[in-house]
Amino acid sequence: MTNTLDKIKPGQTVRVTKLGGEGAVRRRIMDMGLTKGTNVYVERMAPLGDPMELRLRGYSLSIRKADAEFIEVV
Amino acid sequence: MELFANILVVGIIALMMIKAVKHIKKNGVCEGGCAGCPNACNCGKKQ
Amino acid sequence: MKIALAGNPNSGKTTLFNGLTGSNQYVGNWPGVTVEKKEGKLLADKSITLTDLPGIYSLSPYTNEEIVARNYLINEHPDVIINIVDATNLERNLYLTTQLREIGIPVVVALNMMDVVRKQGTFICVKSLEEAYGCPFVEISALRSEGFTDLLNKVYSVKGTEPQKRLIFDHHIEEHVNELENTLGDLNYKRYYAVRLLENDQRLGIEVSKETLETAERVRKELEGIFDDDIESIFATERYEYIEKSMKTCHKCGLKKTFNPDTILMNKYLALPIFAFVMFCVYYISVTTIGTIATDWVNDTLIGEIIIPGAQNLLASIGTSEWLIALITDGVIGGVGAVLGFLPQLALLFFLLSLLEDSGYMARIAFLLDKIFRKFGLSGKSFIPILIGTGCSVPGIMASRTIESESDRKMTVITTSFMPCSAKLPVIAMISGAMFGGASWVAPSAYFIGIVAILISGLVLKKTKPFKSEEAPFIMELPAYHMPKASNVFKHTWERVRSFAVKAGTVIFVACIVIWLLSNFNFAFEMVDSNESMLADIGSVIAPVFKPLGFGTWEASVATLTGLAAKENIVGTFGVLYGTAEVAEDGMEIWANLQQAFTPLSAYCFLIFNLLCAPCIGALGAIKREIGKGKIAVFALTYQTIFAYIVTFIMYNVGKVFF
Repeated sequence: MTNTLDKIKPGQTVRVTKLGGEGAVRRRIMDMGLTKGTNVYVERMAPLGDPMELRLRGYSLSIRKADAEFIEVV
Repeated sequence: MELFANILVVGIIALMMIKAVKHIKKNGVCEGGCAGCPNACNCGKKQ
Repeated sequence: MKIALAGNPNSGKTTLFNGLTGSNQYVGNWPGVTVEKKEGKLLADKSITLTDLPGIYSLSPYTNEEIVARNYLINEHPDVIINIVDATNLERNLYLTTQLREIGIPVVVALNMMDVVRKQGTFICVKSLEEAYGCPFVEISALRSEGFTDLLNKVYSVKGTEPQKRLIFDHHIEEHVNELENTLGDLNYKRYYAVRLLENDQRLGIEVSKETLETAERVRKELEGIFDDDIESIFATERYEYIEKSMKTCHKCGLKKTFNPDTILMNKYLALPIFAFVMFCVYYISVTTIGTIATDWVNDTLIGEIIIPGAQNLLASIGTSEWLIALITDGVIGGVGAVLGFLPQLALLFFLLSLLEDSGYMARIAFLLDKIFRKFGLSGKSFIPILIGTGCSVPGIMASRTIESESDRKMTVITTSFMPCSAKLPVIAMISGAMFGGASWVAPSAYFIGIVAILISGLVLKKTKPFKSEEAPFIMELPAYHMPKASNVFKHTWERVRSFAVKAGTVIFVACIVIWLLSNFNFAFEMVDSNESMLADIGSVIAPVFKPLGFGTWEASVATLTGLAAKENIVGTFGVLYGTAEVAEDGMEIWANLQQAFTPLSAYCFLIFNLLCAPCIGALGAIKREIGKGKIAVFALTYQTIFAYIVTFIMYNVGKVFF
């Protein structure tokens, strides 16, 4: 089942299948290691509900839900 | 005596002023590594 | 010989730089501490220049400081690149390594934080890493100065060689990149340019032939067809896949699980209260409690009872004239001393801020507050400049470079100085002590008003043309927490305290003498009462402007003016003007005189106006440097002053009704 990253609940691990969006933001997301096939663990939502903290490639990354929306995962 | 003492004190102050002004000219008013500066040496100076 | 130091943000470049060159550059635990390149000579060999570049995640320039780093690597032709890699975060750090080795300049990889890696029980095989990336890897710990000799030996040995060829990409890509490389003739760094061309980099910095452009276009299309993906994604995915493969053979994760403080600090319900508590503690402890006790002692006992009478006696005993004694005690000691008296409070504030910076909590604050800040058109990342700005606006303004969106960055630059900096702290403490009996709400309220001013400005400025923009992204690494290192924290504190003292001895010293002279002589150069002095005449001209704000005296007007050179001058000016010689035995006399000159309301309005209006010259210079000359810098200054005027005007006139 495909879903977008912003919908994933904390505590779940998913795999990236497609990166939507465009331009510099997308580029930055990929540079930070969110590429196709990456396993991502959703660590937590920020206390106010946004952004979210991800665990990938051995480090913690924070990204807004609005940007996570373009990342398709299974 | 008074004249001598005055000249001495004014002299010292003048010297300190010159030193201070030189320092400001070199480092800018924000004083080189001003408080909390991540670029300790660079700020205030021309790049 | 030139060596460049490149690596991810927060990987320890500056620590290594300090270790290798013996300099004292600033280090902190948040991404983006260094925003400009710095040069230094190696301790081991003075003929070698080491350049510390800002941290970058990749060679595709995304923020200004990344452009600085890339331009240096490409245009300045360093002989060797030391690629510093955070070994606790190997996978992502190696991404830049795959790009750096492409340039063609010999690379030595420094595996930093190996001490932490060993403690975690993680195993890293250096041999297979060298095999995989075709360049030497050296284990170091920049913090403990381990492995430096080894590192430098490797640097000497690779000089003049080229990184060995490794097939990082799939053979389709390798073939296509080679084809494009061949069209570039005898250009330097061909492979780097070929990849950048393929990736459609808009800031290439060189002119290429039409043939090359056409080839790039065609090759890109072919590759996108083969991989059924777009070119940027293809390259990024290929790089990371290669890294993952290499990690399998050379990296075994330790099993030791450590406690993550974020379970509590970023807890859904506790995070905001903890944050508020931490910030309140920082300012309450430093401004109100311990700091005040020490400051009172310095002001009343040390300066009031020991230094001033001592200086008076000494000068009188050698027979100095009355007026000269007055210049020294009222002008120099009264003015500079009034400012230096606040040093204990500042030292404490600096110490606590260093703790925050070093621990890694700072990035979490940005994470925590992003949602709130975004509502006001700013990014969570704006909080870092703001917090740095409580030390000094200048580095705060410079720290805004890590903000990707140009309009957010400009907005942060303009609004950062609303935050009370350490130079404004003595002003706050003086007003709070003299007019409000040191009430604990005054200092926090100043910071609160600073934050609110920033948020309101966010809303207002977003509506104007230069700042209207798409919402900027917030993609930030959250660095691992670590125990602040005592030596580092003390070094930070000392550096800041020292420069505050130096500033008092230079800028404030000169200003106080000038103010004393101007306030004791009239235009005919006769010594007169301060009310008939040149300064009074000058102040009286401006005073009507401040009348609607509640503080239309010439003293307050002059203090506001001198505050433009440095905000501590406000305290220095009051020290000179209100602390007359005959009352000098009691340091509190300044306060008594202030109480006569101001009502609590007008004093508070005076304080707020001076906190919000145009910052000191140093900060203005920084604003000009960061957002460019001309209109927008003028706009920044005008905006700040008008904003301060309106806020204070409302505050005074509404306040008048109630008090």
